Amino acid sequence: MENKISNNRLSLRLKYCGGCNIHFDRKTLVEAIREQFGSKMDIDYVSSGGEFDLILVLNACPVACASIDQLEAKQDIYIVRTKKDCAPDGPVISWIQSFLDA
Amino acid sequence: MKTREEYIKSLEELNLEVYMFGKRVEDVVNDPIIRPSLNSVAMTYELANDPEYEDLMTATSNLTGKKINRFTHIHQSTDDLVKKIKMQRLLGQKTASCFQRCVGLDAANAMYSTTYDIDQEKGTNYHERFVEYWKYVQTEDLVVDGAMTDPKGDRSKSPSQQDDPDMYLRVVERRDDGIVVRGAKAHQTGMVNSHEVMVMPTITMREEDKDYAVCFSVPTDTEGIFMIYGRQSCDLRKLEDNADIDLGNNTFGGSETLVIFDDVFVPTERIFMDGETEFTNAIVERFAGYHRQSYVCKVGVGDVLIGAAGQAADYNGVPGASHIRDKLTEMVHLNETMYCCGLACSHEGHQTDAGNYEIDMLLANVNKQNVTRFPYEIARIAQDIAGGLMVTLPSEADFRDEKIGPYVDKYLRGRSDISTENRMRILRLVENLTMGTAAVGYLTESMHGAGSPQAQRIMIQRQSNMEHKKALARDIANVDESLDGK
Ligand SMILES: Cc1cc2nc3c(=O)[nH]c(=O)nc-3n(C[C@H](O)[C@H](O)[C@H](O)COP(=O)(O)OP(=O)(O)OC[C@H]3O[C@@H](n4cnc5c(N)ncnc54)[C@H](O)[C@@H]3O)c2cc1C
Repeated sequence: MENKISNNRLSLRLKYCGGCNIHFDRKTLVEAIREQFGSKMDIDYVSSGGEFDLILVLNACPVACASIDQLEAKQDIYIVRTKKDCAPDGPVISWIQSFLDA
Repeated sequence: MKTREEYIKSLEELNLEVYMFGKRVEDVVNDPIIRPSLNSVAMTYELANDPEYEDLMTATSNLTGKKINRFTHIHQSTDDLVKKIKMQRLLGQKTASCFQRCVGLDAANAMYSTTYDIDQEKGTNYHERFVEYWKYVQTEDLVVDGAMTDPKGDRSKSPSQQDDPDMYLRVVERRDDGIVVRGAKAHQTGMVNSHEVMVMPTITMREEDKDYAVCFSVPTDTEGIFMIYGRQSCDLRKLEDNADIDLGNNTFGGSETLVIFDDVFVPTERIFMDGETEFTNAIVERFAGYHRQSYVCKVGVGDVLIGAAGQAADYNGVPGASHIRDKLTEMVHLNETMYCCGLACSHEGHQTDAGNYEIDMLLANVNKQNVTRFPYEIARIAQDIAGGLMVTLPSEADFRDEKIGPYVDKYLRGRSDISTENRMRILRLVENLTMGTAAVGYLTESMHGAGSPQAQRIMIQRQSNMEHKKALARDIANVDESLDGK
């Protein structure tokens, strides 16, 4: 799961908090990401360690307690903290798109 | 870490001696009465291997440096204590029952610091033994039953004063290579789904109780150990053909057993205390403290029950009624109050001399004291909202019957756009949680588990720092103590 990618595609890693108090719909967002970027990027889960281009931290509530101190992003890390972040056509999608466009 | 499947396979490899209804259980893993409780424990493995949940469900071991299931973790920070309770809430939500694995976790953290303290004072090597043992538990990802409660006989008498000397588990023989123990442990949560059992004394002891001051661990299928399965209300429903709706929760449950230790040999390397009566108080208080924090698991179960009550109101067509909304709000208030205490005692934790982290004792006891009450009130409100049908519903067999089924379907419908079957399912879930098999865990375990209410009140009184409070009052009131005693 945490292997570096073998091709030149951008790597996006999804890191979840444990989800004990779900306020945001992360499922729909992840589905939208996979649908829009699945063929263009290397998308997988991450728990700790490794170094990836982009890391998306999927917290389920504003407490945002997912442990991220072991994670390193080569380009950027986005921490979901609000319902708005989870919108399937919201800021996360544009954030990912901006790296593909770059 | 083990997967769910590996866990189940490892249980199949044990040769547990379990009795139920006067007979030995042939296939413990697949017995229909026991299986739901196994499924609950299996969830602790399943979620630990799921990227969506592993942030709460796993930790890095201070003993091996490896990634481990949090249920085997020695807490290294207050953040670990917080993650523990979030994990417990999550599992309560996922199983709506007791998932049984906290007792061993709490026993381990209490043993870790207490064995260290004993060694410091007595020059023994219990801590080293315990650490070696716990590395094995972490590496093999085992379930450990935490066995504290003795049958206790006459509660007004100490262990050595009992007419029957076996009412508290004790050492009956000391050999060069270990000890032989005899006695029993009552109400053992999840023992049938455990690989190991860790025994601790249940009360503070004095010098004359030396033989009763014993801590050790052995595999659950050690020769001389056998279990007698505890009955739960409505348990026989699980034996009915195609049992489903009537169970309320057809997948998960909890389990308790009376465990007999009939002259069981414990090798030296598995003995973590033998005769150090002055440390029995530390073991009992620390284990109870961690375990009183653990009762935050009921918040997760409460989430399900509150959801069921809300759903029942929807199906009844009254979700907007002001008193229903207010009652649901009250349920959430009670539930989150328990969560607040769980969070507070975790955030206010501190490091022990041994290096692991311990909860704030006062706040953990306040938490458990609330847990002895609030689930009962939440259950009462759930029954209010559910309506009488949750106890007068005909069976699933009647509902499925060709002749009478249509009548059940017609007359037990609430809102016309909601199926009677779904309404029945939700009402049976409320029944299951408030008076069926799951009420053992949600209600009576909330009352007595980790000690009956009075045990917390004693601790709250001891931890209350009353003299400081009195000094504060004297200061504000400008009390002049030189005027006194004249
Ligand atoms: C569902 C469930 C699961 C459990 N799981 C575990 C487990 O996994 N491991 C484990 O070790 N234990 C477990 N327990 C045991 C639990 O810790 C005990 O039930 C609890 O400590 C109370 O003991 P008791 O049941 O013997 O009640 P009792 O001791 O009989 O208490 C009944 C009442 O008598 C009072 N009382 C008792 N002694 C005295 C006294 N000396 N003076 C004055 N009043 C007294 C109590 O305060 C209480 O009000 C579980 C219990 C339950 C119900």
